[in-house]
Amino acid sequence: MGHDVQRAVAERDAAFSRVRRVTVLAVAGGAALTAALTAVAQSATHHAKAVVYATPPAQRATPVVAPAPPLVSVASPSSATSAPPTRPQAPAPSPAPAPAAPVVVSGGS
Amino acid sequence: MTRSASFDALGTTATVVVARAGVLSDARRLLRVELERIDDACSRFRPDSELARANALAGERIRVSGLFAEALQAALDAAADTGGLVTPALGGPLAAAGYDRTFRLVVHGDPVSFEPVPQGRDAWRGIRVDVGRGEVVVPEGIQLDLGATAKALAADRAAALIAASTGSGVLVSLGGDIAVAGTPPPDGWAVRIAEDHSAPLHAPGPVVAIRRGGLATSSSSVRRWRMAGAEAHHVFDPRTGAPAESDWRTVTATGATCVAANVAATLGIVAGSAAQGWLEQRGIPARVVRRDGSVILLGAWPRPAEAA
Repeated sequence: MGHDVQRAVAERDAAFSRVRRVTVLAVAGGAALTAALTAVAQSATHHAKAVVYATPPAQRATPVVAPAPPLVSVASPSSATSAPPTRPQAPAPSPAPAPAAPVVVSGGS
Repeated sequence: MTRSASFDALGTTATVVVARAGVLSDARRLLRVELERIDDACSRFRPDSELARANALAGERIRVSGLFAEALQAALDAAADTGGLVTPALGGPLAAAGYDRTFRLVVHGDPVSFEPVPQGRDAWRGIRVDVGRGEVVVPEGIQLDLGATAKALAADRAAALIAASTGSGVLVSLGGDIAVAGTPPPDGWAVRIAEDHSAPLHAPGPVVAIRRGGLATSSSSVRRWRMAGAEAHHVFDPRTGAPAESDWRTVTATGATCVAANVAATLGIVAGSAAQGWLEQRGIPARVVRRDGSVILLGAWPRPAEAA
């Protein structure tokens, strides 16, 4: 009877030992799997890193083009005022003798 | 039968004449609105105008309204076409002569000692405008004055607006700078020519009729004020930075637009007889009063036997 008890105790202890090993292996395996999945998840998303806002170089003001210079000499007032038009212009209308009474006065102001 | 209305605006007299009497009220309202807009944009005497801001921020690129950009472009076109003699770069010389406030204040103020500020004929070239983007740069050392062309532009714009809105033929006069649009009366728009736009309507003098475009008169005999030791008038010569001293004192010209007519008339005062070739090459009819009072008629201007 004592011998059977000793053997049962030994078998029980052996079973406990197997359960502990399986438990340890399961925990270790779970941790490894967790670590592996974490690594996969990290690689699948953006890495956290410092954001540096680069200051763009100051934009140079784009020159706005002035009208074309006149095709007249700026050295000679008389020639400048006798030069042809610098661009096509609609003809000035010719005033006509007025049979009617004036409706307005044109003069200096 | 035409109908007309007049009121004070832009430091002068604004008059609208319509061919259809029933639209006068609308025409007057539209003219007032347009003149308020041009005053907001181009007044040299209002610190809140766009022009005042452009002058205050000389050297910087600033955003402006489409109307201001259009007015400045018209002035730069005038400068390009006149070799810089009709220029928007005269704000500095005018202010130096005491004309830095409304003319009513100038004539009632104390005479200032005047030191001419020559700008040269190329000062306008540094002014930048991008009409499409609504941007302007006024170079440092330059002060804008759009008086020579902005008033005429306002007349052109208002006449076109009123004609389109009312369907009536219309004449708009701003201090004698005249634009017409729409269908004119059967005999055209009859205009009396005088040295001063405030002269009586029915006094003796030449009368001509126009049917399209514009007609403008510039004169050194009006808008005059006292400076210390001298008398000034408002048409300045950029070469001297002082009131023009040409041999022509009053010039009336027509143009495809009121702006074009104004530029021709102003050039005549600045350059005098040196402008005759310029006018003739462009086929611009003009009536000129010389300093001695004699009159010459250029191009297709009606001769005395024709004109009333």
